[in-house]
Amino acid sequence: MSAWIDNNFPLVFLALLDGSVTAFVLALIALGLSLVFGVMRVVNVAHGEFFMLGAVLAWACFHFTGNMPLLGFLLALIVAPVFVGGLAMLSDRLILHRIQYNPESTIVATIGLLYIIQQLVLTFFGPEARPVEAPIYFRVQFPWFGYSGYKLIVAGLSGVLLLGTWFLMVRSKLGLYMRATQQDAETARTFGVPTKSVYSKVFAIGAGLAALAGVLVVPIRQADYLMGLEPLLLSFIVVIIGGLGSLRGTLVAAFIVGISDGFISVFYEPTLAKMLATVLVAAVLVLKPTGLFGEEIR
Amino acid sequence: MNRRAPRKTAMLMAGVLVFLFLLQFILPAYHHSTFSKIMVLASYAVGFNILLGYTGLMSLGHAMFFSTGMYVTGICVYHFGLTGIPALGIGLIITVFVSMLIGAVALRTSGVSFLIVTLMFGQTAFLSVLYFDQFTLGQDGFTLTKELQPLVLGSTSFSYTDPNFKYNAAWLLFAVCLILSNLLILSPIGRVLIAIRENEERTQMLGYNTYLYKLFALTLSGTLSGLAGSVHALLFSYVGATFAEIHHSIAPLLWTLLGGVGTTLGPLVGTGIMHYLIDFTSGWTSAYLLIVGAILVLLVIGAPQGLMGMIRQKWMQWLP
Amino acid sequence: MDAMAAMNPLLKTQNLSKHFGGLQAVEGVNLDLNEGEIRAIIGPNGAGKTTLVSLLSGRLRPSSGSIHLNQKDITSYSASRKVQSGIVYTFQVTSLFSNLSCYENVALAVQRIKDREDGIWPRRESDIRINVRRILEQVGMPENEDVIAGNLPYGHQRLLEVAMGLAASPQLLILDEPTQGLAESEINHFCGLIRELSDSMTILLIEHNMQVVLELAEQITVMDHAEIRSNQLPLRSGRSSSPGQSAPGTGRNPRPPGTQWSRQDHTAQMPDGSPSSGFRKDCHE
Repeated sequence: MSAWIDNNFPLVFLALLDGSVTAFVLALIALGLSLVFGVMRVVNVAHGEFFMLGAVLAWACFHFTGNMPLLGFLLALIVAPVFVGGLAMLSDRLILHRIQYNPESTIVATIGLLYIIQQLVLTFFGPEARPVEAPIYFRVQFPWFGYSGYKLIVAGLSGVLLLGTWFLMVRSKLGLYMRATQQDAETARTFGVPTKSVYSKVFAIGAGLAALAGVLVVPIRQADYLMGLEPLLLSFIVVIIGGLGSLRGTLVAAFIVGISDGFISVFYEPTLAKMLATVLVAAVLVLKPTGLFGEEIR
Repeated sequence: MNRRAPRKTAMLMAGVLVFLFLLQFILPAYHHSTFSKIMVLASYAVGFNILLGYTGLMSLGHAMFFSTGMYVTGICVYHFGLTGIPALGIGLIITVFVSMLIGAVALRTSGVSFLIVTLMFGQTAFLSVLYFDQFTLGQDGFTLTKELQPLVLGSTSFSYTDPNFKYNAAWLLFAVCLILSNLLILSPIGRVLIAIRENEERTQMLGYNTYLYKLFALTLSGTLSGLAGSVHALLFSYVGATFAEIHHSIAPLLWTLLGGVGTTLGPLVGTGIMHYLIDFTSGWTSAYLLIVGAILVLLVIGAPQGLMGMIRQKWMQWLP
Repeated sequence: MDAMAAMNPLLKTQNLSKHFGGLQAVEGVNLDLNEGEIRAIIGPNGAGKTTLVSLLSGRLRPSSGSIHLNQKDITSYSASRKVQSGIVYTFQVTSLFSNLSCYENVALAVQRIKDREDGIWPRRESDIRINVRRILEQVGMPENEDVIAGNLPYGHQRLLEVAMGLAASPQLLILDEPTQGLAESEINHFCGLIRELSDSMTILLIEHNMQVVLELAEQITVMDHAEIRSNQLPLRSGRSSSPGQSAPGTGRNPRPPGTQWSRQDHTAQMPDGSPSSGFRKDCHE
């Protein structure tokens, strides 16, 4: 084993780097999904489309600022979460609230939302993939290969955003409301927590996190209207392995899935990586149906 | 279904089937072939509805069962030169096993986890189609036009490309699925499945092993879906990865919701309407899936019981 | 009850315990139930009564201890297997198939028994129908066959719950606060029904209404703080008399002196669903 690592060290190192970047971004996207499930007990299938919208908006900002990558990037960091969060809040009020957050109806409704967003983007943005220039370009030179510095920045910013969300959860009044609603919405309501607006805000925050992830990722890969599906499925894998609704589980699972994705992608190929991730899910479910950190769902 | 009415049900279903059979003699060529397609896809939706409508389990990965049937049958014909019926038989057997296996794992979860897990298994099936491209020929798939031998019954032989054969084969498939689903719903097993949909814990506390019943429902549902896939491959001579995509798992959900969840005729009605609607809208926009999205949202908000569900609510309480 | 039954109880638990994290909900419970008796468990809220019967019925798995039914260890049975072996639980909060008709509710319970006895599926619907009608008649709601369970008045929902328990042909029927939320006349009806049933099955009753407990129970088990405080509290000589108890329509016997809570065959009035006045006295004097 160690001899093998010595011989393949550059590749192992690359896999670790790539895997960590994937893990950070994945954690950010899956956190949004997990937050929404934890507080509202619903699964948002349109979550991947919020990510895609973030990427597309980043492209729009990039063009709006006249091809100034850094300015466009900073603008997108504000515009994307605000726009996407607003859209999410609107869909919460117009759709989810009306169906009373019934779990299955919500899934059907968000599938509908998925198609609506995706097809509107197809109509106005077009079917082709569009590149966005990275705001900062530099290479970090390792002894064996150079690595994109922007990827490391993506990982770093994702980490900052994860910390920020955690801070929001434990320090702010909204965070307190969220945790109270998560424990028991009925009781929270009797204690004066405005659960209706908490739901809207949580849904908006979840969508905003996905949109931010989209902004961060778009310079690495291009923006196209179908890019939402893959992160959605990976996030599902993450939340299932981690246990639905458990934020700690989500983070741990994001790293398991991200790093193993990095390794298999480097040593084998990405399609296989995704298939194996599903097998991993099956294995977790056979051993522990509620996921690694999930409590019994009653 | 508030009351069981086996006799009325039998008469209604017979009426529908006779009507569909007679339709072939009056339909113009274009609609004739559209109806063949609708009946095959409606069979897929009938299979889906056994799980969603009568057991209360929403699967988001049913395309894996459809495409299992489709690919196994297609590969048997394309790579191994089998004729239609043996290929269909092998497809059927393998779908039964795949459904059982997937069910055994996926049914360990419940609620939304079940949805997510089936969605992921469905996606894995799609990726497998891309990955094993020496058999599946990847995204594009393959046609069976050259390889498929005509069906020989006694002294007559039927070509799979003959429109009349297509229509009647599709009709036969749909008849089998419709009759099976009605028999199931009116049987004691169907009663238990409905009980699981209504209140699973109570069903357990009546002494039923609900896991086994759910596994049975999922296996039957997957098998009918797979059968529809096999027949689809033979009748329309094409096997491709689009039939394993997520959209193809969402499709029966949409058809069933529109036609009426938990009504045996709902899948046919929903499939028919959606097929014509998409046919119509794709004529003037490439973003025709927008319609799909809008209908899903509107159904959930405004008419969760679907068309046949409304009919049952208003006029025919006995409708199964 | 005879000596044999006392030696070989229908149900026997040994050191049965259930912990939820640090909370001991049930602790070291030894409970013997004899065949054919009506046993009441009483105690304050939170004493662990519902947890105890949930362990018996398999809704919860015990943390330690054992449960024997007819000397057979059934501790590790799943809920559905426990029901299959004869322990039937009726829910504290009515848990019906509220979108289905009363007929369907009872038929679900009936058809499983038929499946087991004959081992061959399918049973004829006509056969199921006969049994469903018999049971609905027994609980006094034969006219409600086609009514959607959720639309029934509350008292009838409780009766339907018992009907489903009956239809599962239990050896041990566990009733968890069956009279909670019932009107007085409904309680009377209920008491009569339970007494009638006790001829063919053992009944374990959790009840807060002491009138009902005193009226029905032959022995009372007191639970407090997760433990059994008192296991034998004989109220009277037991159900030695009245052999004609189960035969409906035999009329009402005068109450023998000195047996204040004796359960004579007032049940005879029950099948038509109209409790007699003497019966009402029994429950509420």
